[in-house]
Formats: sequence, C-alpha cells, structure tokens
Amino acid sequence: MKLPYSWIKELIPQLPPVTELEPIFAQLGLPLEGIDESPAPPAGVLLAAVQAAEPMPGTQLTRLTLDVGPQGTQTVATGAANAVGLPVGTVVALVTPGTTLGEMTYGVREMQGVQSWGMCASAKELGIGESNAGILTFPAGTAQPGTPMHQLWPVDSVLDIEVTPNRADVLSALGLCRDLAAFLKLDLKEPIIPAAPTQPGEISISLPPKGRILERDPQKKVRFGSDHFAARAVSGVQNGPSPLWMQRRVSLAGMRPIDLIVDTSNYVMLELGQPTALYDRRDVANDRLVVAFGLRGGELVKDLLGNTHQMGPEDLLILDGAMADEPVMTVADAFSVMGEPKQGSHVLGVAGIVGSDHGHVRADTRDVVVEAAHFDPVLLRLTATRLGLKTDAVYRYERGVDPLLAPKAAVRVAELLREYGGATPEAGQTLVGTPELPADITTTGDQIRKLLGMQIDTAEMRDILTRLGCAVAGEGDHLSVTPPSWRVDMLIWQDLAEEVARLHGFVNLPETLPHLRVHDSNLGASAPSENRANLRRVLSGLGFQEAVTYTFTSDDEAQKARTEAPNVRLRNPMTAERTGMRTALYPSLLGAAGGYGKGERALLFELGRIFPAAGETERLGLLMRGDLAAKTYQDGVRGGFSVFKGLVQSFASALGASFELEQAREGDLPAALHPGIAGHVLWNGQKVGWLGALHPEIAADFGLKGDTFILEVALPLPGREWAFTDPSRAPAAWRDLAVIAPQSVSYGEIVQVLQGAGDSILESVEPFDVFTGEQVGAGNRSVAVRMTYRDAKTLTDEEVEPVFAAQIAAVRAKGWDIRDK
Amino acid sequence: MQEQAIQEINAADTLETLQAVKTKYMGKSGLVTKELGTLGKLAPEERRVRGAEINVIRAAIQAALEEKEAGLKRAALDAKLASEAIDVTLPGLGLPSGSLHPISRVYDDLIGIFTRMGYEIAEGPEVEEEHYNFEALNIPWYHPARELQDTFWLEDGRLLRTHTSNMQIRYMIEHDPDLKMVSRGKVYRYEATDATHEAMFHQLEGLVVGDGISMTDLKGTIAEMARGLYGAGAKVRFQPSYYPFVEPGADFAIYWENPRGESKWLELGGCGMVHPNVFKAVDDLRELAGKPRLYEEKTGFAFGLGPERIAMLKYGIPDIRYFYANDPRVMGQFRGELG
Repeated sequence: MKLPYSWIKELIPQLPPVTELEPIFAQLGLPLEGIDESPAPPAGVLLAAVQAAEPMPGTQLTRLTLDVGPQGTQTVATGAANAVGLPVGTVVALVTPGTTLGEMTYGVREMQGVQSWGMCASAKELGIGESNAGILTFPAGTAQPGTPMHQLWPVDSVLDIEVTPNRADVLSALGLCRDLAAFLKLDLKEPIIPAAPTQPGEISISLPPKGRILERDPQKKVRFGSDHFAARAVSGVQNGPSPLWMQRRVSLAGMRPIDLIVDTSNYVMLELGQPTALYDRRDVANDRLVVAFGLRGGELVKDLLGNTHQMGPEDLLILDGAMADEPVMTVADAFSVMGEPKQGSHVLGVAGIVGSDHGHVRADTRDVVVEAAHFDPVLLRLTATRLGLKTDAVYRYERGVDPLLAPKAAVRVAELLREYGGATPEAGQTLVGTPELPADITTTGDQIRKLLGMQIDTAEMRDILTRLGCAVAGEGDHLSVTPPSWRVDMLIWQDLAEEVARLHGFVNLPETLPHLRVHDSNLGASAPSENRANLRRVLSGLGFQEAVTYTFTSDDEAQKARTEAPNVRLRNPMTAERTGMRTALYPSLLGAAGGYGKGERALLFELGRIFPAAGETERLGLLMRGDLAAKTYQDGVRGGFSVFKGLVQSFASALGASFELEQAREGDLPAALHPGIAGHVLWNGQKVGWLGALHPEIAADFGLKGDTFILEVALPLPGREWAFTDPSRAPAAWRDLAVIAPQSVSYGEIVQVLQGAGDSILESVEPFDVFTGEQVGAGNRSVAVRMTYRDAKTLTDEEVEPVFAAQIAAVRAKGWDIRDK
Repeated sequence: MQEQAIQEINAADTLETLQAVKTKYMGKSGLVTKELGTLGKLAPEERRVRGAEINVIRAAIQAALEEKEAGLKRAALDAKLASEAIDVTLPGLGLPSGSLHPISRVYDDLIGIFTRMGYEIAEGPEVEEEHYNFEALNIPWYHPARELQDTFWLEDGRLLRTHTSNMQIRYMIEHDPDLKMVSRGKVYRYEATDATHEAMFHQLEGLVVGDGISMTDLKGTIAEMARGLYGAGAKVRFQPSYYPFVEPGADFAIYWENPRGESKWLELGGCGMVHPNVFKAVDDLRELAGKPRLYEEKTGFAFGLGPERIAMLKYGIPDIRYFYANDPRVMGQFRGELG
C-alpha cells in the first residue's frame, strides 16, 4: 500500500521525519518496501485560469486563453480531448516557455497559426502521475493565477508499505495512523466527520432474506452476503475536477484521478478503508438498492469497462429496486416480481468488486446514490478470483473491512461532495443489517507472559491494548478484552499476546533455549536422513558430482526417455516442458549430462523424488560418461561398463553392503538400457533397481554421443545384519576350476552354482580368465575361477577335496562342462 | 703384496672386478690365505712375527676392499636412482573428484547445528494433499493468505507443497510430544523464474513442541543457529509478521558480518509460536488415525528458511537458476573450505 508522508503527518502531527520511519514501520510488522521521492513539478509550471476555450476550426486543437497572473494573459493550443469546452475559471497546469521537462525545453511554438505559449501538461508529462489521458485540470479558485504549481504540489515521500493479509485494518491512512500513533504514543488527529443521521433516507435497501452455504465450505457456514448496508442520496453535484489536494493524494497513493465523484469514492477508501459505490440516481429504479445472489447458469453482467462476466449462485450482485417490495434472494426473484426484466431491475454492479454498465456515474450525473456496505469477505473473494478482478475495493473486502464503518464512510462521501461539489446530501441516511463484531477475548497477564517469555506488567498490557482501541476490563491479572470493530483479526488470546509483544517491541525479546526431553517415539527419526547424507558423502568422495535437478517433466521427455508418462500432472503448467512430475530420475540426469562438454567426463549422482503411478518415492541415480581418466601424454583409464560397475562396487563396499548385478533378460529388461548391457541391482541381496548402458536410441534422442552408463535404485537401500567376526588366522586353500558353459549363462549364474555347492568353507570366488574359442566349442565360453577356502583351523586336502568335488558335480549337473588343464 | 693389492682394489671399477680382486687375495686359495698357510712351516718365534705382519696386511686389504665395495655400491645405487628419475611436474592420472551440491552443503551446515542441539531430521512428500499443505496449517480454502503462496495445483486435486510446513503436521501425527525436529526438502511455487525466483526451491523447517515453550525460546534457538552459521557475535532481530500457522508470528533477520563487503541485517525467514488451530488439526488427524490427542495442551514454536538464499549470500552466487543448471563449471567450485 502506498501513502504519502504528508498525509500520515497530517493525521499524526508529531510524526518523526521520514528518514526515521523505516525501523519504526518494521518494528510494527509493516515493513517498508521502499520510500519513493515523488517530485514536484518544475518551478516553471504555473497554475493558470481558463478565460476561454475555443475550438480551432479545421484542427483537432483547442485554443485556451489563460490568465497567468503576473505573466498576463497567454494563449496555448492543445490537442487534449478534455480541453474541449473547459469551463471558464478552470485551473490548468501551464508549462511556461523556458521550462525543461525531462530532456525537452518548452518555448513559444506556432501551432496551426496560434503562437502557443508553452503547453498545458498532463500528470505524466509533469512526472507527478501516471495519467496521460488529458491535461491536468483543477476547480476554479484552486490558486491565484500564476502561482507556481509546486507550492501546492510539493515534493513528497511515498511510503510503500507491505501489509500482511491479516492486517486489513491498516489498509487506509486512518487505519495505518491509528496503529502508528498507538505504537509511538502520539496523538492521532482523526478527520472530522459528522455523525451519521439516525433517520432513514429516501433510498430503501433490500438484503437477501436467507444466506447461502457455499458448496465447498466444509464448515457449512451460512453467508448472508451483506450484514451492514448504508445508502445516502446526494443531489446537485457539480461534477468536474476534484480539488488539487485530493487529486494529489489519490495520485500519490497510486490511483488515477478521474473526476470529483469517482475521486471522492476512492479518496474515502484510501482515507478510511471503506470502499463505496456511487450510482447515478436516475438509474436506480424505485430508489431501491437490492442485494441478491446470482443463479446457477447465471446471468451476464457487463461491467463499466465493457467486459462481460457470467454470474453464478455464489456471486453477490447489487440491483436496483424495480417493483420489488419484498426482499429477494436471487436476481431471478427480482426479475420475476416485476415481471418484465427489460423494464425493471437492472444489475448495478458486482457487490464490492465492480460496477456494471448501468447506473455508473457519468459526465452529466448530478444526483447520486452512495452505497457503503460490509460484504461477506469470502463470497467477494471467490467471485473476484473467479472473474480475475482484483480491484482495490475487493482487496480490502476479502481481508476484512471494519463491519461498523459503512455509515461513517457514506457520511464522509456525502460531506465531501457537499463541500467540493456544491451538493446537498439528503437529511436521512438508510442503514440496514446487524454486523457481526469480533467477540470478547478473556485471558490473563500470566498466560501472555508465559507464551512470550517476556516480563511485561499486566498494567502495560492493558495500556497497550487500550491504545490499540480495545476495551479492556477484568480485575487484577484477568483481562477481558473487546477488540475494536476494525481489528477483525483479533480472535484468540494469542492474538492479544502478539499485539502486546508488537507494541512492547520485539527488540526487547530476550533469548533463552527450550528445555525439554524428547519423547521416545522421536528417537531414531533421523536415520533415513542420516543414511542419505552418508550416501552423498561416499559418492562425492568416489568422484561423483551431486546434481539437483527439476522434478518437472513432460510427456515428450518421458517418451524420449522411454519411461512412464507423467501421472502427476499440473493443472496449470507454465511451459510445455513442465506439464507433470517425473516418473524416473535418469531423464533428469541425462539432461544434466547434456550440459557437459563433448567427451568431457561426467560422473553425476542425484538423490531425488519421483512420482510414478505407483506413488511418490525416492531414488538414487548415477551416471557416467567419458573416460575415468583422460588419455594425455600417458595412457588414461577408459570409461566403460566395467569401470562404472567398479565404482558402484566401491560405493557399495564403502557402505558395507553386498552388491551384485543379475543379468537382465528379455522380458525383464529395463526400458532405459541397452538390452545386452543391462543388469538388476541386488543390494544386500534385494533387487532395488538397475544398472547398465543407456539405450542408444534414448542417447540419440537426448543428443548424447558416446557411451552413457546409468544406475537407478530405489531408496532407502536395504540394510543388512551385521555382527563382528573374529578373523581366521588359519591359512587358506585354493582350487582353480574352468567351467565351460553356453555363452548365455552369466558369470553370476556360474558363481551361484559354485557357491551353492561350496559349503561354509568357501570364502570367495574370483574369475581369472574368460575365454571363447574353438577349444571350448562354438557358442560356449570358458570361465576360469580361483576359489578360496578357509576355516577356523588349517584345511587339509581331505577336507577341501569333497567340497571341490561336490562343486564340480553341481556344475556338471547343470549340463556344463569342466575344462581340463 | 699389500701395495699391489691396494692398487688392484683401487683400479676395480665394478663390483665384479672387485670381487675378483677379493678372491685373488682373500679367497680360499687367495694370496693372503696362501701366505697364512705358510706360517705353519716357520719356527714359533718367526711365525709369531710373520703372522703379525700378514695380519696387518690382511686387515689393510680387507679395509680397502670394504671401502671400495661400499663406494661402488653407492655409485651403482646412484646410477640406478639417476636412471629412474622422472619429471614429477608432469600431471598425474586425471582421476575424478566429486563434490556436494551447494544446497547440500548449506543443509549440512544447518542440520549440523540443529542435530547438535538434539533435533531429529524428517523428510516428507512433495506432492501433498491440500489439507496438509493449507487447511491443517490454519490456511482455510478461502483465505487471502493463500495468495502469498502461488500454488501448482495437480489435475487430481492435490498440489505441489508450497512449503515444508506440511512436515509439521505429518511429523506430529507420527510422533508424540515433546519433540524437536527440522525438516528439509524441495518446495514449489507457481512463479515465473528470474534471478531471485524459482518455481522449485528448498526450505528448512523447524518445530519444537513441549510444555511452556515461549517466544524467547524461539529467539534463543534462532540465535543459536545464527551463532552456528556466522560465529560468535552473530545477532538476531525479530520483527512482527504474519504466517497463518503461528501466533504470534515474526520474521527473523541475522546480522551478517560480510567478510567481502558490507555487513548488514539479512532477512532469512519466518517463525512464530504454533497456532492453536494447528495443534487442534493435528489432534483431529491423530484421532482419525486412532492415536491419542496430545497436542492441544502443548505450546511450541516453528520456523522456516531457505537454503538458496543462505547459499547465494555465503558463496556470492548471483542467480538462483545456477542451482539447478548443474553446470560443471559452477558446481565444481563448491569444494573443501570456501572462505
């Protein structure tokens, strides 16, 4: 929210200088996003009074004859549309010759035969506002002609205040200053607003007789739409430019000045926090405002900007009265009561959000109906969100406007129109509804002290809460607090604790540490996370670089990677590359590998989550590309399957895990892998994933030339039983054996057979020769292994031989052969 | 003979020739040995004199032999070593060296601080039910606070968690109080990406629940974290703020003594006292799971912060997008001690 310093200073005359405000606002929980210097117009810009405004025949221009005071009478030609027919006396901003704006210096210039003395400027041209729609105009009598404009529009500092969603009460100059004054213990000079008339006025109001329960509300709260609604008729408004001070404030607060009626409505919202709607009374049939819900299937409402919206049963509309004497629930009820929609009720607006194309204020509007109401914040929020209309009004409504503020705001609007528009507010003001107010909160000073851990006297708490506008009762330590109507966020005693801490000052908060003994159920909760940390450390120590990649994917990427299409899909994807969540980790690693140079070694790992149809789960992925050590002046270490597998073996070994790879066969081949270079990972004996060479088609689709080796395993990795064993000091015995088996038989399978028959004395099996050739027969392969046997005591041949024989028998039983030495 | 022998020893230029000289004089049938053999034929008196003479000669030859042998061995070793010399300035085999991602490094720092204080670590799902991400955290479906966290909604009605605060709920359902925990992981916001905004980033969440936990405990804990991160003298500042799942709520800043530039207050995260509605929601969920209601009578605090921001400040990383680009030239810089 933006507010000029000068406005705040007017409400708090003893306000510290702007340079001291940043820490003050921060301590209040209203941090300043910035303080912008808003410039004054240059000294050469003078306020001048229009003496005549005449069209220049044959051109689009208007010739203004201006009273420039000491500078005499001057003529200016302007193309601005709003210069046409400017009333005599209107004050304009004249850029006098010799004045520089930006990089341009103005002079006397011939325009279509008129010697134009400088120019009449828009707010944007003067650098003091956004509007470039026309030249700046002010009411007659704004200043003596020839007065430098900067005297009335001086330099100011605009505070850009960050307001959290709970603090609706500070979304206005008055609300902000209330909080600031309470904190700084300074006097607040509230604007003087007469009390609202107690007798009803000429405008009648109809609220829905029943509430609506929103379909998606689990609490099934009945929402009445509006619980407080004020209306006032004001006649004879001389609409035109609003006073300079009002235009300036509206403009500095970030809104665009339009005319007196619109600016007044906006100004009151900025000043008090209450949005209002002003209608042209000619359009309000029967002088009656009707609040009604829309219908399922809905009616179309054209807003005052010309956009059409379809309204539904949870949308709240303002209608005019037509012939309806009874309260109506929906737009259709209103229409049916009066029978002929086209002649009767009109939609005047979407409640609290935007006016319709019927009833809004126009150039010739003289008599207005002022609406100031409190609407259900949830209803309005839903409608505004659905329509995509986040107006300044609904921004305040959805956060919570003071439910008692409506009648005061209606009076303020009427009084401003009286003062600056020569209007006559009617004597009465209609007010209906019973607003829901914040409930009383009871607590004790002790409860608050305990929560905060701060020693604050109960007396100080009373003082703080009272300064904030609460009514505080209760004896001794007991506090019974009635929050002010504008603090709709004060609901529970903890809210009061926050207010006490906030105004006492968070800077005074001491530092202690919690003393507690955690419940047994928490012990060991960290184990999975510690295991992950361990994996990271080991892998990075082995030479792998950790990657963190996006978890998003697309159908296209999944297809390229030959993996499951995204199952978890975004409802609102931002880009075509991110339409869902990944179903495997390796496509992300392939993407990361793409960032490495051609031939550059890439050793990557990632621990991350994937989201396949089977449910969210965690994976570890590894990737290797390029040589383990590049060939330079000496031989390097070529990359390859065996190197990659060796690294994974080291990884497993460092974690004390057993690691085996089971040859993947037709039927259970991982789709990502080369069908001939693929294995299932057995980690501590359990199948957890796969390892192999990336399928060349996938490599091509990812633009990866050269071999890529990948592993993907599910986390957590299975653990193992472990117990200390005393190392045997007895010497080992060895036997060598060459097994001839068909080439389709994997080494793993051979080892399995040897181990199966190996008895407990078989310590290890290591291959030392793998051979294919005529000698072993076509289609066969010889695998020679050295087997180590060991026992607690020295093994004798008599003990080893039967085991060795049993192993040979087992090999033969598989139909394989033994190669003689 | 002695002179002759010394001459021959000195002339030997290899161990082999020296060995031949040694054999010639000292061998079984060497000249000195032979000479000693003649002693038996001499008269006792003469034998004594002659024996002493020969022994002197033998000792001198032996000493010369040993000296020469040592010299030749040293020369041989020197020659061998010289022949083995290599240019050690040539690079070794270019074996790989890995490193952790900078986010992991920052997490390690933070989690190390909290585990030293007895906190458990928890991780949890990134695809989350609306209830755990919002409702149970006192962010009802209609609440404007939801706009603070632009959400990736999923077609099945779930969402990508917008914060790690979902783990407060999940952890409290699983575990009984009293407790101290931190949670880490990825979070998602529906935001356009630029140098300081990402659709995916990380958070660290902390939660402490017990009896009589106060806001000063919260501030003290954040101060401990600050000390752990930035050393003695690190200061903490609290300012009121709003997070629906805490009351009172605050933002915290740490005064950072920047070794490379201007020292300043860094807004690092949000915190506050757990809102009673959160405890109630947890107890409701526990009841559904057949567990006792243990939280409503408790007090606690929670805090959250982003490791990306800490990493960017700590390492001087200018753009948040570097974290997920996995550029080897960037990632390779985060090794060992980093100033």
